[in-house]
Amino acid sequence: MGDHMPEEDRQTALLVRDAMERTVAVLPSVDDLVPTAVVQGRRRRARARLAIAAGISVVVGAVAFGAATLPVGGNGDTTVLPAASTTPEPRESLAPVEKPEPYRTPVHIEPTNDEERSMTDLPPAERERREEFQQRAARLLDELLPATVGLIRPVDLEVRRYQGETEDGKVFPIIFSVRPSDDGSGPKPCPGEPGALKGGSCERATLPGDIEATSYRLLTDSPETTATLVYFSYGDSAVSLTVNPDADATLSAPVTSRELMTAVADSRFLDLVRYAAENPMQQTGTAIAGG
Amino acid sequence: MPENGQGSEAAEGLEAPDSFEAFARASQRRLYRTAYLLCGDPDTARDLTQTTLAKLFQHWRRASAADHIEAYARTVLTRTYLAERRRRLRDLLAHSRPDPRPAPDHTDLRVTLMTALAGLPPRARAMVVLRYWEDQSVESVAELLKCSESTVKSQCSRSLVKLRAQLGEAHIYATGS
Repeated sequence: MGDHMPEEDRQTALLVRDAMERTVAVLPSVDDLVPTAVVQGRRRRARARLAIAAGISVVVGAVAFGAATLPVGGNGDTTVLPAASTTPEPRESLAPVEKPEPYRTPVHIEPTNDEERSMTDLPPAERERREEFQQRAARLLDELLPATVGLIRPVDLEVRRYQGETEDGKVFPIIFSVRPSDDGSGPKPCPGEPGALKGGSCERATLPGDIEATSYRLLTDSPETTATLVYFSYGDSAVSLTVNPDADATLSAPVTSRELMTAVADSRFLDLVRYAAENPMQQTGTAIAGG
Repeated sequence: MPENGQGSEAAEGLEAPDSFEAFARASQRRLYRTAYLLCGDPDTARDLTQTTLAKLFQHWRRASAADHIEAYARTVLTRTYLAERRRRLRDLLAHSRPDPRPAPDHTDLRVTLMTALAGLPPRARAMVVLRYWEDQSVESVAELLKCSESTVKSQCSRSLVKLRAQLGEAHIYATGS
């Protein structure tokens, strides 16, 4: 307890310790928690395995996914089959079509100001559409982003909000935003001046379809942490994907610009973007950090 | 030294499922006590302890391979507590922490301690419990909570000032000294 504490603090620490000992000494004995913990632990293992299996089933079931839920593209003559062209022939034993996809229990966040409106205020049909979109986006992001981001779940406050949470409790807020854009000018190029990003970094890349994208790794309000984000335009929509740091744990977003760029270049991600662009769920605006 | 100590070191290094049960049974009371000091409620402490044990079971191969399995369990417990607090705060729409409850007007030391701890932010409370109950060094606490040692020192010092103000009178009454 020492560590060169001031005498007054040392006395208080002893006092606190004494009070703690007295407090726990009268705690009732706890039942044996081990049997239930073993059951819970087995369930957790099973869920983790299911999440891995879901990654496979999402890929294998991509044909069903695209055909059944995403709208017909372009002028309606064609249907995009996401990832089907790059996926090996599915083995029958995986039975992808009938297999229910894992449901990601949304994180509940109440509005904290008058400008925020919860999705629960929406008409039921629209709310259901957005929730369905969030489920698909959460599962896909889980597959595309590094495992260090943790299990990704939707946040029920807004369609663009998600959250990655690791087994040891790290929480990384994620924004996946597709919004009609006023200017449609696309993301700005990386700043030419080296110091403009104040320690951050910027990369440009071309996504499939000749889409120009810009990715940043930027210092946040907390100077010790960085967020990673990527912007691009899709048709008349501004698209952004942002992984924010765990502010409480002072941990930077555990994903690099390159990893984020690879994620958004995936054809399944671009199919989700296309759906959101053609069926907007966010209000018109210009692309701003985080959404 | 109370029973929070190192009674289950014998369980370290064991890898078979049986070893989990041995470790869990030897550790659950200590973890429960620490959980109670962290969250201040017996039922929540029970849930927190159970979740911690379930997570240890889930990753038992990794946990049992840790150099100090007690420290591993303590880390899981503390981070689970902090994650749950964050989740609850979000659920309660409070980005600001709830107002601490007013100090009780009686001098029951235990009640006063739990009230005083409840007035600390979750991470500060965790620091106090880890430092003064679990006897962890500043360095260990900083590593566990992924912050600097100076942050631990300053937060603990500030917390002690608050605790001193509330505990002093109750302690004199309780001990007669």
